[in-house]
Amino acid sequence: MKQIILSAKGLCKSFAHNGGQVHILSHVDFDLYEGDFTVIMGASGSGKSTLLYALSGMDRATAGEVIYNGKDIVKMKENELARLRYTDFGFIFQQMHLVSNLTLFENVAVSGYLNKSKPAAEVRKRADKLLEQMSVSHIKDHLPTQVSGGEQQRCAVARAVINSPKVLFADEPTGALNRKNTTDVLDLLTELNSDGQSVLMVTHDMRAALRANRILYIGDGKIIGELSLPPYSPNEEKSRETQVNAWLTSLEW
Amino acid sequence: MEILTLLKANIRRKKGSFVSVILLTLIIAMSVTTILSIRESALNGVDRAHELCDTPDIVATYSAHRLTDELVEKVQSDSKVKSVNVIDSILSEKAIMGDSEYGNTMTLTKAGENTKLLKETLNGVEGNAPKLQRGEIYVSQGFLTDLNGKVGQKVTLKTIDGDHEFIVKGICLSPMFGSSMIGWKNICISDDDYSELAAAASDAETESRTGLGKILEVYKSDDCTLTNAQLRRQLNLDTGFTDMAYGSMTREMSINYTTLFPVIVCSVLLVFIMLLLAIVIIVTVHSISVEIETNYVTFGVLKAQGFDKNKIRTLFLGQYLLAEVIGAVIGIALSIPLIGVGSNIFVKVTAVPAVMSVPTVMIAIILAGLIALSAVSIFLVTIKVNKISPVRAISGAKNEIYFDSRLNAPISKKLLSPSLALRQFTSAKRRYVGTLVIVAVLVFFMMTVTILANTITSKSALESMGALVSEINVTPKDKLSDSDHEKIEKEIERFAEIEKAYYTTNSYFSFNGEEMLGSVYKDPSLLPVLKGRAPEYDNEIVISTILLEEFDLKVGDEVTIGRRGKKETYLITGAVQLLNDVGRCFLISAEAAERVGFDAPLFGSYSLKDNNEEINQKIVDALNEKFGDIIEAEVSDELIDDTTGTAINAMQLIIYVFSILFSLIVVHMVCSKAFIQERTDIGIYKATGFKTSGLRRQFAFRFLIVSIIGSAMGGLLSCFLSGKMLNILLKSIGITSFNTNIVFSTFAIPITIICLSFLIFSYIVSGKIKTVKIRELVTE
Repeated sequence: MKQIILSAKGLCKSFAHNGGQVHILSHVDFDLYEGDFTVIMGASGSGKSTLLYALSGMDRATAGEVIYNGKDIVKMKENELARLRYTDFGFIFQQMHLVSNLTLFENVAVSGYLNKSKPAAEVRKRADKLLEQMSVSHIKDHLPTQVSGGEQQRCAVARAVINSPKVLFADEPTGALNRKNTTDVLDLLTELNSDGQSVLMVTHDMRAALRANRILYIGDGKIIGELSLPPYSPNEEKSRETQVNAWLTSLEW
Repeated sequence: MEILTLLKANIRRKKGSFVSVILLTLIIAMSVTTILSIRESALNGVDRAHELCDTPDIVATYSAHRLTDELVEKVQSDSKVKSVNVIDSILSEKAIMGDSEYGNTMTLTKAGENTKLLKETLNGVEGNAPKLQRGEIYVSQGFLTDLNGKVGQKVTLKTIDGDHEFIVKGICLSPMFGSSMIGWKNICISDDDYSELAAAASDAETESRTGLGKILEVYKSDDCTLTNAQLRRQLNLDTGFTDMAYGSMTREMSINYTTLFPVIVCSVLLVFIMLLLAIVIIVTVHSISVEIETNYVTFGVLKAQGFDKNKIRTLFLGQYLLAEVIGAVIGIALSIPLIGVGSNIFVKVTAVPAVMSVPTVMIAIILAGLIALSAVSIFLVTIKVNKISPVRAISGAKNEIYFDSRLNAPISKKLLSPSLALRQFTSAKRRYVGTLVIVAVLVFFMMTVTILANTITSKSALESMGALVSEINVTPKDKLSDSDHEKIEKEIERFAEIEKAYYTTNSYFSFNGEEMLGSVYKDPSLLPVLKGRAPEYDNEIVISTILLEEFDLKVGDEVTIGRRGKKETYLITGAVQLLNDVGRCFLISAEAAERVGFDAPLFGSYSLKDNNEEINQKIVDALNEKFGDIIEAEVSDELIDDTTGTAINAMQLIIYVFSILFSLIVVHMVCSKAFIQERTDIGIYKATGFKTSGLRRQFAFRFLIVSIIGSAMGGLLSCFLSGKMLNILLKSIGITSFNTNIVFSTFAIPITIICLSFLIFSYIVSGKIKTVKIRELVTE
């Protein structure tokens, strides 16, 4: 029996526009299971990124609740959310968003430094290990502008997991990458997940979605489809793709 | 049309920097207009007063017997002289009003029919003064300023006939001697009082300081091409008329002394405003530079659409010059009420009402200069626009413009916020160069004005600059012997240790034919010599550096000193700084002065090791009790008078307030730009778990670092340049070697104020960090 790590109930998000309200999310109910690699898919403007940001506490939902560790993160104060970000949640952006005047190593380490419970030496050691794991340790003293997009994204993954988060959120992490870099980053996420890391990723890339063991489809602000898959194996990629493709087609993707 | 559309959009979008440039220019325009107008009003007021009173070109004052009919005739008959006027007077040596005393030369004359009276508000001339009754006097405003008195108050004048009490009936217009900057004062008394006092004074010894006197007024002939100073020298060489006088003054000298104070105060403030002007240009350049960086892509897109570099540069020129013109216009408009209120601000010193004037041409030149300089700077800084390539901009070639340094200040876990702040500074140093320069300039000026204020209130600093500073003053009733001096010193030392005992007086001599003040010292070696050595023999003198320059003399040259017709040659052995008569002065020993017949009593001034008001008073009481028959002792006045002190404090306050104001605007502009540039980074920090409060502290800490470095630069600059700058500004009062009295507070106060201002203001501006949402990082 899988443990629910994050749970959303009646989640709504709307924006004021031209005097009226535009509803992006409409009463979404959702559970995220520990150790799952969950992918959210949907057409452009369907609300998938909005859902990810609302679930991760990066943005506040208009209504509803997101329960994590028995607490509603929608009602959390900014300081509590900040703490959650450097203890329990990790985040990967589509555009990498590394701090431009910090080296790759510092980008990773600074996030680790925020966690007061770990000594600086331990943070530095872990940062080195992660950068090694992400195959960017040879360029760790470079500034983000001096390395490729793929290298930046690998560094961003290392930053996201420096504090060993309970949940790793990823918003189109391969959206800005070429084929080779996309594969590298997806392999990293798959490897993390196989080590027990819970991952929630938004993507519209079929290849990325294949890495998940659970795919949710969102349309018109609601989850309108769900597909469960066995854990990813590169050898079964073809048959997995056929299955997912058929499912998506049935949802008029 | 397309430029106009973009210009309107730019102003709408960047209201903050547009308004900031307006505010900065407004402050400059308002200050320049106000200061120049106040200065001009004071100067015009003096000129107008001289016209109104038809003042002579030269005035000389005499003991009555020295101005013989023969001498008057000689002067009168000189072809360069149109007419002369002789006025009878009575000399007085002391005036007491409340707690204040005045001990400089005073002449009492009958109030004439043309004596003009000032309005009570001091802002204009009331008309001809009514005839005085017995016991009433008219005095100049300068006299009241020196004695902290007012109309209606009683004043005691010491005359040959004893102490006489008068009531100040009104303030008369006295452009020649009225200023509080001039030691010589004229008091108008009633005909009856004059007759009575003159009868008593006629019994006095001929050279008595309270005897009868005469004033000679000389009017230059219309065809005389000499300046008044040249005429005075030539006339003296021809007739010896100033050799016989107590002292003389030309109209230019009087105007120079009268306007000295407003000119110096306004000059200091104007130099400060000019530096602020430089700051406005630095801020503008910085603002544009950042704008080009942050809108790199936009400009690339504009270029891709067909906008050429000139159109983009015109856009910047239009945006910033428009803000400056608006600021200048509002500044000038706001200055009008300020000029109205402030034009008469110096009347207590100049003693003549200001005539409100606005030097429009000068103001227009300065403001046009500001705008022209800005235009050139904008033109130069926007050269960057030429380098923007549409393709590179659109493809996000940010690295070339964003970071100028790879200097890696380490990031520490323990000091995470400060170390990140330091990194933000070191990785983009170029972005803060302008701010550093601005801080340095502000701190430099704040320190300079603090040095000025500290020095004029520091006994040791004033002494080292050639000023005689003492706690106890002794006026001899007759010439004292060396043994009298010893006895007095011994009595003083019963209460306190004497650091220096000066025996000195000032008197006018002829110096190579020109009347010049001589400071006669029993021991001239007490004054610090700037060059050469102190005089040791009776044929040696030292002179001020100003006289060395003016007469093109050098140490080792010989000069002729004369008095009352007797002349001797003296060797110049050194140069000193003397503050009397705005530095046009020489130092001579009493022994050397005797060679030209100078035999006046010397005043005693005692500088004590410890200044204790209670003990000082005890010393004075003891001296008066024991030696009352030969001397009159008194406690010295404060180091500086109230008016000068207030003016310098006001100047300090203005400079401090303006510096804080400028810090506020500069911080607002620079922080806002930094915020725009770093918005994404702030979002990233938030996404990784940084709290808004921590990011705000980090932001403020960076500006604290900038302000500390800038302050250090300003401090160093001040150590090297403040003295030199004050020498230039204060040369007109005789200071050529300003002793920069730098103490801990000289650094600490300005630096603390600037650093705190930067810290607080940047923390306030960083409130915008709250508005950054992590959602902004999402690419839809």
